[in-house]
Amino acid sequence: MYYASGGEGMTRPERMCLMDFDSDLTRSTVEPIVLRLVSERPMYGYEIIKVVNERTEGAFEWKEGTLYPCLHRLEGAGLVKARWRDSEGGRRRKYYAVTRKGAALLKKKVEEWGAFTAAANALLFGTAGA
Amino acid sequence: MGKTQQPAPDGMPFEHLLDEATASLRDDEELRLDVRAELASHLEDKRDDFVAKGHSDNEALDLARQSFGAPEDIARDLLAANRRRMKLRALARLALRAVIVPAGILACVLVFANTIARFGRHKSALHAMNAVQPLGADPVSGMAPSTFADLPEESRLILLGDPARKTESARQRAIWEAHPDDMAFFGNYVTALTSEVRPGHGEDLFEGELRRGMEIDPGNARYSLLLASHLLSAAAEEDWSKDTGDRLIVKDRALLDRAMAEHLEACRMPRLRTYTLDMLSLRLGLLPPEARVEDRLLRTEMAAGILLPDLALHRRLARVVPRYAEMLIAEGREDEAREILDSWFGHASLLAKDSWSLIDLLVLNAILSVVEDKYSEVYRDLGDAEAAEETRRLAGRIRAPVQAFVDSVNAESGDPTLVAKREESQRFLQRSGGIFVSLVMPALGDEMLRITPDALAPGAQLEHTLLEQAGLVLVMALVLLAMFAALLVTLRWRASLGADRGPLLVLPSWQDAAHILGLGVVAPLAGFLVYTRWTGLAGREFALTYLLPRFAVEVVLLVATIIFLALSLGSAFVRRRWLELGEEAPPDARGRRIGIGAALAVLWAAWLFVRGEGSAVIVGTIEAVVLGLALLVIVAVGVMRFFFGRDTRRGRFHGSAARSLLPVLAGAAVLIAALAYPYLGARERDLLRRDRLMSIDPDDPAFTKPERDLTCRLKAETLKAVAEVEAERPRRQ
Repeated sequence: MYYASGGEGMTRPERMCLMDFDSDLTRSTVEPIVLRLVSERPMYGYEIIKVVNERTEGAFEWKEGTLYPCLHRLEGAGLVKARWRDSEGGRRRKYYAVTRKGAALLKKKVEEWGAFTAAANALLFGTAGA
Repeated sequence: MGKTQQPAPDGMPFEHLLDEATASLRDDEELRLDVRAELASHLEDKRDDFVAKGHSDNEALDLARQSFGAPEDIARDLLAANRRRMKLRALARLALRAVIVPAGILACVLVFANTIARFGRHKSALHAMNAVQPLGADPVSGMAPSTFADLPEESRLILLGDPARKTESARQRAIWEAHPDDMAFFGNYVTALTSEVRPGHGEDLFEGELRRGMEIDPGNARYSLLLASHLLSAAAEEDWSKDTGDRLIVKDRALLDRAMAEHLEACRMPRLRTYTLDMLSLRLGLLPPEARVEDRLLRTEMAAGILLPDLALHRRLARVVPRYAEMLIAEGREDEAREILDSWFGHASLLAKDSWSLIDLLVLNAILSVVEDKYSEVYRDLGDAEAAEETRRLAGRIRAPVQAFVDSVNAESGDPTLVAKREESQRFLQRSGGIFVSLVMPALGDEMLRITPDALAPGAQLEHTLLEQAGLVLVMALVLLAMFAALLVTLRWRASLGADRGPLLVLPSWQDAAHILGLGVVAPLAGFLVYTRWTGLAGREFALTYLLPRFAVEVVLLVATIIFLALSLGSAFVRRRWLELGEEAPPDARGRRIGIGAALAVLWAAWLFVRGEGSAVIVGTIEAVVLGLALLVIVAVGVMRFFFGRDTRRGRFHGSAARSLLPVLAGAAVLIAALAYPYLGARERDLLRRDRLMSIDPDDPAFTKPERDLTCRLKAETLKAVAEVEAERPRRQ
């Protein structure tokens, strides 16, 4: 969602350039993205990485060192709750789901991001953006 | 993310990689294991993906490892992300160790200490009630001054006297000294003095105070009667044995003449006031409201203790009079003999007016019985058959109401229908009344027929509540024992495995804690409450004496249920966490748990329908003890196996389970103490308030209300007879 709004109208090679993102920009987007994904359904860490990779067509390729500290911060702040469950294959995995507090924050962040990208797009591309 | 991400070195196995990546979390071993297990699951998923893409197992392993990133960087980021959580968890662990566990122990200790203190007060009160009280002894005065520490100084003075003084009479005298115009306080002081005077000890003081009483309280026969009795003690010895017949062994005739003169003088006085009822009423009114059973026992003890200060001397004087009259007749002093014999009516009418308890009236009845037999016998010896018959008839008339009551107490006398009713009533009292009620009420004869089940219920339930409080102490003792066992097991595995690999304190979430304590502790207690109060299956309408064995089994079943549920739920939680942490745990003993749970359920179900012969609920003591012991052994064996298993391979699990269950048990102790103890206390207060049968009204004191009603009725009938006899006697004379 964030990618789509920031890269609308760009070609595939142009979008791929975004893989080498500025670390501050990445840090500010990881938490809302994780919140967004686990608000769709409970997900485990590896699943989140795969979904991010798929939906960004490889533009975002998160590492364990990016995702798990983020998940733990969110859990510590009460924005997500974790629960161990046995998956279909029998492997025990830790699933994360958004809490009510996390959902409220996500809503706020999405609105904030929309306004921010619209303003930034207007300045950078001369368009109203998303 | 903004850091150098070097891939993990080739050849590093997952285990080592995971240990390095989570090394920064070592201060919170449970959290570290949790994160480690999560990362392990992640790596395995990744390896599987590489295998699915066509890589060999070894290649997939290497690729997964390489793409993991630098473990040092991950460790640093994980620490930063979890630092706040680790602090909170450290605080939670500290709270469990330093607050919950001590609070659990404290709850047990407080319940024990309070119970021991209450038992001490019960014992003291019951001992005082059972002990042979010296004449005029006041139970309150023997109590520690701290008993009434909350009362104002003036109230404490009236209740206890001046505790600083050495003798009882001196302590009681202090009340009169503070209120010199109050004759009740002087009478109370004299009552204390009567129990202290001995031949050659305190006689002058006693006589002096009696003379003072005659002076400041003229017209009150009590002081003359006390002086007569005192003089009689020095003047003669009595031998009332059946073998020899009534004999008076005179030691000092002059003193005997003085004693009888005082007696005669007293019997001519208008009134007799011992002031015992006034003092009792005053003191009862000063006591704080009843909150505990011992408060009621204290009141009963007070009523019993200050009830009978002078009754023995009245009987003694009444028995000596005919023997003294015989001596006068032998000396040819027949007129004086008639005069002293005629004193019986004055004596009897004084006693009738000052009677307030059934025992007062029974003593009057006994004295009148002596008059009927012995006095009329002496008249006959005088050759005055008419006076003999008149005395017998009039004394019999005055004692008729009380004698009719005495006959009714004998359940086997009277018409068969009434006898059957009395027997049924006695059985009813024994089955449905409190212990004290079933002891006291049958002595009230047909008065017990008027007692309704509604009037009996609060007293019987009060005793059940006391027993439930004793059961609560047992529950707390067993929980404390289980806590101690858990501590021992923790220490054992800590010593065996070392501090690094020692037992973990697994933190439950609040949902897990609520689940364990709710289902393991609150639910059984609530179930027990429903069972005993509202199902009608527990037989709580029966007296404690009938229910005691049944109750003992129920408490054991309840304790077994609480311990089984709390330990099962607690260990299931620890086991689940243990597996989540990727640690080795013993196989789930679900079958055994279900078996024990089903056995307990069957026992409960069977127990609900146990019925004894001749009663809806009673069971034999032996069955109860055998079943109780069997249950305790089963629970003890289960607990010992759980705590003291020798499987060292899984020692860390057993140690961690024990360590983690320690705060669960402590929480259970706090919860039980916080829920059950106040509830039982409130119920005790409520039942005390509702039990009017055994309550003592300061404005109208009596042992029991039925006794008060009976005494009032008998006293009114006796006084009516006294008035009729009084009207008749002058006409004859």
